[in-house]
Amino acid sequence: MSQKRTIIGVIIAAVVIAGVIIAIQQAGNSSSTDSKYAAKFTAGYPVVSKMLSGIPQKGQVLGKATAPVTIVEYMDYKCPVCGAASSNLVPPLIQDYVRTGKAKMELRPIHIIQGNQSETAALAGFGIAPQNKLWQFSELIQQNQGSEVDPWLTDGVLTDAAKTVGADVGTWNTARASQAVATEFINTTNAFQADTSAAGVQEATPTFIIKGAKGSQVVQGDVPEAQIAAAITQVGG
Amino acid sequence: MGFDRRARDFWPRIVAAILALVGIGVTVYLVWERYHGNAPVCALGGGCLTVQRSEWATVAGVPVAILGLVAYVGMLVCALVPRQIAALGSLFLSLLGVMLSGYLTYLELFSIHAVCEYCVTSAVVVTLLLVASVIRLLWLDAAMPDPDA
Repeated sequence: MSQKRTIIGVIIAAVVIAGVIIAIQQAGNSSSTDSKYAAKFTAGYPVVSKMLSGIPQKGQVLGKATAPVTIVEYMDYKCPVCGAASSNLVPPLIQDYVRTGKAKMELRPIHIIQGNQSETAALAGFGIAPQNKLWQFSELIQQNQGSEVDPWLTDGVLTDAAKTVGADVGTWNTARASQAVATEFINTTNAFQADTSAAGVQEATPTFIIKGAKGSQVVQGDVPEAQIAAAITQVGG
Repeated sequence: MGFDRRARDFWPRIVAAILALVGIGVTVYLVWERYHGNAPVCALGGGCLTVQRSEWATVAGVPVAILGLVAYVGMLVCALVPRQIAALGSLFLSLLGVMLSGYLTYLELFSIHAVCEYCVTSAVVVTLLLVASVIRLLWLDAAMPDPDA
C-alpha cells in the first residue's frame, strides 16, 4: 500500500470514528419528556410529604411564626447545588430546627441559571405560595431535578408538580401570571442582590441567610448541617 | 523509543510530546474536578461546571475528559516512538481529537450556552498537535521516499 493511501485510510478512519462517537452521544441524549417527570414526581412525593407533614406553612414560610430564628433560602429550581441541598441539607434542617420550633425557613425562588425556565419556575413558585404548597412544590421539583443545561423544566412539568402536591391548578395558573407575582419576583431578586452585596458574597445559589436576635449569618452551598447549626447558634438560636 | 536530534522528525516529535503533556494536564484536572470538584455554589456564568454537568459531558456513560486523557496519552506515546506507524497514529488521534473538539465547542456555544476554558485550551492543544503530526509526516515522507511510488 502506498504512503498516501495509508494516510488517506487513517483520515477516513478518524472521520468514521468521530461520526460514530457523535452518533452514540446524541442517541444517549434523546429521552426527556414531561411524562418522565410526572412519574418521578409521583414516585418522589411521599418523601416530600412525609418531610413536611404536620409543619405549619404560610406563604413562603415553613414553621412556627414564633420561631426565634429565620433561615431564608434563595434558590433556583434548576441549580444542581440547590437540588443537592434539597436532598442533603434541607431535610435534616427541617427535622432538627423547623419541626422543633427552633427556626422557621423562608423559601425565595430566584433566577440565576441561564435560560428562561428558572424564571418561569420562580413565578410558578410564588404563584403556589398563597395555597401554602410552595415547600411541597419546590422540594418535589428540586429532589427530582434534571440537568441545569437541559430544557426539562417545562410548563408541563411545573403543572405536573402542582397537580402532584394537590394545588388548585386553576387558581395557581391565574396567580402565577399575575402582576402581583411578577412584582414579588422582582422584589425578591432585588433583595437577593442587596443581601449578597451586604454580606460581601457572590450572587450564587443556594444562599442561606440565618437571622436571629443577635444578627445574621450567610452560608452558601450544599454545606453540612453543622455549618448552619453553628450560624443558628451565632445569631442567638 | 527516544529522541535523536539528527532525525528529521525530531522537532515535531518534541513539540508533540510537550503538547500531549499539556493535554494530559488539562484532562487530568478535568477528570479530577468531575469526581472531586463539588463546587459550593452555582455562580453566574460558571462555564466549566455547566459544561461538566451537561448531558453532553459523557459518551455512553464515559466522561469526555477521560476519553481526552486516553487520547492524549496515546499521542504522547506516538510522539515518543520514532516509527512511521507512530506518526500515523499521531495523525489519527489528533485528527479525531480536532473533529470531536470542534463538535464539543459547537455544543458549548449553541446548546449548552457556556464555555469552559479548559475545553477551549484542549481544543487549541489538539489542533496544534494535528499541525505537528502533519509536519512530522511530511518531513518523514521527504526523508523516506515512498518505495511504491
